[in-house]
Amino acid sequence: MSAATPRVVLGKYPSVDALYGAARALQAAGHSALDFYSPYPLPGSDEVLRLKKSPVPFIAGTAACIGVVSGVLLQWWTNDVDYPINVANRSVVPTPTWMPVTFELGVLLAGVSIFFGLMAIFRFPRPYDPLFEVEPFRSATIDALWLSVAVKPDQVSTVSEELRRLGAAEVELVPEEA
Amino acid sequence: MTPPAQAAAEREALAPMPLIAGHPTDAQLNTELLAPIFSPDQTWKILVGMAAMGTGMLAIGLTVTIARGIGMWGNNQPVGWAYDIINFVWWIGIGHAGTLISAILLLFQQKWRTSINRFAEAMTIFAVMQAAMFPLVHTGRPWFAIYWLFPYPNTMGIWPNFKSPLIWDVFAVSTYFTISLLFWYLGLIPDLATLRDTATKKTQRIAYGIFALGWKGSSRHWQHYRVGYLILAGISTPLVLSVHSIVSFDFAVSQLPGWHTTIFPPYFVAGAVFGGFAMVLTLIIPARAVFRFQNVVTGRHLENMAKVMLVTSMIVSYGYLMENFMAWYSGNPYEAFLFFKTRPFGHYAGIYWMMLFCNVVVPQTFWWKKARTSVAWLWIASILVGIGMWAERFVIIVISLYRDFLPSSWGIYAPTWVDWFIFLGTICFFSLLFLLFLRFVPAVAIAEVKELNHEIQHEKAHAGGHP
Repeated sequence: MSAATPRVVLGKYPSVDALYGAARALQAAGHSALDFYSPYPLPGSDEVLRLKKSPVPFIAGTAACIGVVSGVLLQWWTNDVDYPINVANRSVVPTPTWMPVTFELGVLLAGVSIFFGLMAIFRFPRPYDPLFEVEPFRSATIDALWLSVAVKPDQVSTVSEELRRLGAAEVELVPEEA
Repeated sequence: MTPPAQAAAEREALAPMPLIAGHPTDAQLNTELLAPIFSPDQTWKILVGMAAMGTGMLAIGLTVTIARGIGMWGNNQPVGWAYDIINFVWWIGIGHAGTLISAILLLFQQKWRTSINRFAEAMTIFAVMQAAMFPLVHTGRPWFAIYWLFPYPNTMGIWPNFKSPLIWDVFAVSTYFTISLLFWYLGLIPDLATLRDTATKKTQRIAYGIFALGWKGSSRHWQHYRVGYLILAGISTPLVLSVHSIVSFDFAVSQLPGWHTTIFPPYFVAGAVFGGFAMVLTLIIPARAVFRFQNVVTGRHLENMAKVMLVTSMIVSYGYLMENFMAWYSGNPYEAFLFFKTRPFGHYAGIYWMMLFCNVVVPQTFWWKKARTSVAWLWIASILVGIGMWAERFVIIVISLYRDFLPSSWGIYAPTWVDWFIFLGTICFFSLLFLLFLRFVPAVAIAEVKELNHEIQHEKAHAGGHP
């Protein structure tokens, strides 16, 4: 592992205000690789972390359109072209009877794309993460608020000190990935 | 009493019951809600044993049906659809409350859904599993059913007929199952991570760690997660309405009196929500007592569910009324014969009157606060509504079929022991799955309850300056 690989420093904060305050101070000092960890979504964290808009709506919308188009093509090709079925001599092209299957396929593809889209964005499944080596960090999904910052190896001690000064109750260094 | 004191007392009396009792901390909620998983109960083992034995009935019923054919059922001419389709519609309907609670109430920002959504979603998935079994077995040869139901290229060069409501059903039910499962699992991920991090045994940490997929509660993940969850709720809302509408098309598209009715889609959806909420109450009332969830599933949740049942019962009652009105107003003699003779005075009149009693009369008690807040009555009423909704499907299916247009084709239907084994077996199988869920998976959405708890405490702090 090269010496330039960034190291992750964790700080545990007692309140959302303290967490956001520390994040803003670190951002002002030039650190941008920040993240928060909490048992439930924190209101306002997107703005503090300056996150870009989520691509999930776009993924879902595209998948829904693909679902609808494939639903129409499927029914048209199977029942009107490949093996025509004449039901009571009704018109062949878009019939109201196509609506249920078209709708269901649109919903199905949108839903499946949201789930797998999220998995791709999160890079899941990832059952192992060096963060899990830090025993106190387990409280992040139980009752504690943690802040993480990725820094150069030579900055670890100054940043750890800075986190404490900004109100961290505990500071931990994430071990390097094996 | 001085006027301000009196006003305060009145305010207190009128204030709704809390959604979360007391002022628990995150750690307390964690311990309380995970208790069933880490400290199992003896009652649970007994119940699982009983449910597993009952599931044996299902295995016997299905084996006999597959080995000897559906002639083992009571279905005949003219009653070609009976227990199979009654149970299918009943189970699918039960599933609807899950999506209603998790999706529609989320979109309407009804915070009381938080403690009960996980229960209801699990109920949906397990109910749809039972439902899907019936039409599949009813095909007679399920191993052939795959090319009858799904469009895949086969050597015979034929395709399903997409103009048939039965094929719409296949797409609706399979989409519904898939989306419900994904929605449920997505909601579970943060709670599985909580379990992984709370567990002390290595095997539990590994097992829950695998299912948690690596969730860390990162804000960068929460951002996408919340958007995805909300859109999934958004698309589940029209989906849930479409599923029972499509199930109702199985009947409404035909020309049989009692089936050929334009009111069916909304009336089926309302009936599904009604029966589904009843099932949520039937399950949650004993579960909250056994697993001590009373602090998060409070009287307010039960009362709200009673109110939803009252509203949906009235929609269903309106459906009954309109069916009868149209039978009279249309002047169609076949319709009139069914609605004014066969149903109220025919061979199965008892089931018809039971349906009216359970679905129309019983929920009217929920106008009184005393009935809505009595846990015992809520439980009894919820079971009665479950029976009533089953009776409704019997009335629609069997009573419409056994008196055909021609008296020469009239007949009587009676279920056989195989019908009963399969029906009761699905109830046991459903219970088994539900019990396993209660024991191994967080039955209340912990992350969401914690978030709600913070919101409530924040609101209180800002409203009155005291917690």
